[in-house]
Amino acid sequence: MSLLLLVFLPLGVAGPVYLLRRYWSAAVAASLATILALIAICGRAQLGEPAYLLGRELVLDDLHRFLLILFYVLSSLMILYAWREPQGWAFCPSLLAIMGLLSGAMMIQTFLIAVLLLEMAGLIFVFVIHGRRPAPTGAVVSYLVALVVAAPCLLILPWLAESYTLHPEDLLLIRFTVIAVSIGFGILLAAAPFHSWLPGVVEGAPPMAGALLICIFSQVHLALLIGVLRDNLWLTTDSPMLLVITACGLLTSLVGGLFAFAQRQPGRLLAYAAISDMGFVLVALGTGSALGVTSAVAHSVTRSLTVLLVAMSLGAVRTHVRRETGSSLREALRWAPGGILGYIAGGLALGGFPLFNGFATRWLVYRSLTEQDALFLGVLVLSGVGVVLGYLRSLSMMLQPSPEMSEDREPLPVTVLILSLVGLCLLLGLLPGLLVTPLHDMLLASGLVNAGL
Amino acid sequence: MDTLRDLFFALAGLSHLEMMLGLLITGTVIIVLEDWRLNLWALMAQVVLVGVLLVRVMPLQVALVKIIVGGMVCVILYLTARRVQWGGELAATHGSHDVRAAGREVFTMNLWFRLLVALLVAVVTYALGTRHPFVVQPQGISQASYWLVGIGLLTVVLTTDIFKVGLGLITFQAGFGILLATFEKSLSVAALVGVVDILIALAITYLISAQMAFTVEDETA
Repeated sequence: MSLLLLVFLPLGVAGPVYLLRRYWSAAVAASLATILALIAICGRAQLGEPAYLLGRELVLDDLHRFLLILFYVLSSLMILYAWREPQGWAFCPSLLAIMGLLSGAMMIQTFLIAVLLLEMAGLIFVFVIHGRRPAPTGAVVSYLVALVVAAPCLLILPWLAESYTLHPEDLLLIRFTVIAVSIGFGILLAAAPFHSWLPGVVEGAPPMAGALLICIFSQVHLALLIGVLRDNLWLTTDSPMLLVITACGLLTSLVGGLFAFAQRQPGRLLAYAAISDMGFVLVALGTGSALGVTSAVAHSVTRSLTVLLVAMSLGAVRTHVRRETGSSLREALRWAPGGILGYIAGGLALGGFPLFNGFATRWLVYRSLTEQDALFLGVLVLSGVGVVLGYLRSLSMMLQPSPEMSEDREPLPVTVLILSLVGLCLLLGLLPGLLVTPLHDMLLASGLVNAGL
Repeated sequence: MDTLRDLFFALAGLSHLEMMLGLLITGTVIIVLEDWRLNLWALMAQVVLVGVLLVRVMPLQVALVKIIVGGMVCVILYLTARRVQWGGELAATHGSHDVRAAGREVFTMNLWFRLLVALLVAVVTYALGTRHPFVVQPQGISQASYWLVGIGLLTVVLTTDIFKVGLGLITFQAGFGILLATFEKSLSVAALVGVVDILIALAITYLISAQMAFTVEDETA
């Protein structure tokens, strides 16, 4: 019953929150209360005890509980941020509906239904892309097309997997499966060469919408990919799937790093930095080793925290740094202290600069690669350097006036939120064991890193 | 319900070639013609033809659910097109950007070009469906699926108009729906796919309305 609440409670509250949109604080309070209730329900849910949705089994294991609680915490931070920096009237109700559907997708044991729930959540995301200013139509349409084309590639997977068990000698079937997984997850994870839809959306959409896409959607997609590899072990043993993932990860990392270095728009820079980070995750996953899988999941978690930090900072700086203060960093710090500090810290963390969480988990990825190829390491380090340089270059450019400019200083709750995230990034950078050790235990318990995938 | 059933059985008597011809015409109308009313009628006819085709691989009730959902999608798109006066002054204002963009294109994708592309896709998908069918019986299923997927994707690629992109995506979904129906016949999956179709239509509706609203705001400013 409690598992069903995780799906239906946010879906049920989304409607009333939409009706409350003119009373913004009330809408935010209702949304926040719902998310806190979800955290409590998820924390108290019995692990392994099934519930049934549409006749299909819903189960929660240790890893998925951790990930769901992480998503709820991230979404509560987004709602708190949206309280003082409105992200569009549809943000809170859409976020609640999305969280309900994503919870279902994470827990349901039928892959087909999980993909359909994920597609629904992705379609609801369209309603948050336009914030206070319109997002470019082309960017929204490319997102929509990418989503609608990716889902069918994943929906045919169960059929292909079933056919493989009947005809394991059929090479064409293996090729089709690898192609379907690569295209489907490649598009959803914005891995090169399917990454082109993400920068436009992150640049045009409100900051929290972009963060939602990168911090939460990507993680769910990654969890589904790991689930597919675990449930179809033949993909890792009898097919070149892991090789494809590694190659795709390297390309993604390189493309993300190079484009981030060349980028002048902060939103696009964030997207390319996130794409580069996804490359790291894929490279680690492609090793198939216990260390590789642990570092992939750990890096995706730290990536979520860092991207949220940068998105919040970006929004604060775009809104509160005044025209006449644009040329002076000291003046800008007066108007948006959290935004400026968060932007610098987040940029360094995204590029894997030492002392930050991004470095700690990247180090794990490097370690999982040492036996493979020094060239891989070189490419990954180069992409990180590209991101850091891109952020340092962009700092002065992003202090330029924007259409969202406000005459107010950055609100105190926003400063507190951003500085807390900076503190968390530093803490996880200095003490990575706080995240990595429990994650490794959870992955062991769920059978994902017993002998690799 | 009985009338619907009778109508269904009457249509189900059509041969697979007649069914393919119908889908060929509706798909071509969607990709080639610009008139939104004709496009919507073609989409509605396509929904019915796909439903009739699906009766051969899945229970009648499930196929009926798909037709009802398709009808709802058409109604949603029709109401949106009427509300934003598609083809009228507002759309013309918005369309002027496209006209300027068209001037910069290497070559314009006019009616004859789109017709030629549609014919090419028809030939390719027929050959593909005949040589590599994903299901042997009943006949015509694979060809219909490949055709709708191909023509849907091409409609999306060949236009910058959100309304047409929506029609293309729904056509693509219909094609994939046929493939999905051959290996997953449960009502729950059909219902969820229906919800996805309606959400696609709502997303398109929202994007069209938002685009028009922002255009009006810009002009007022």
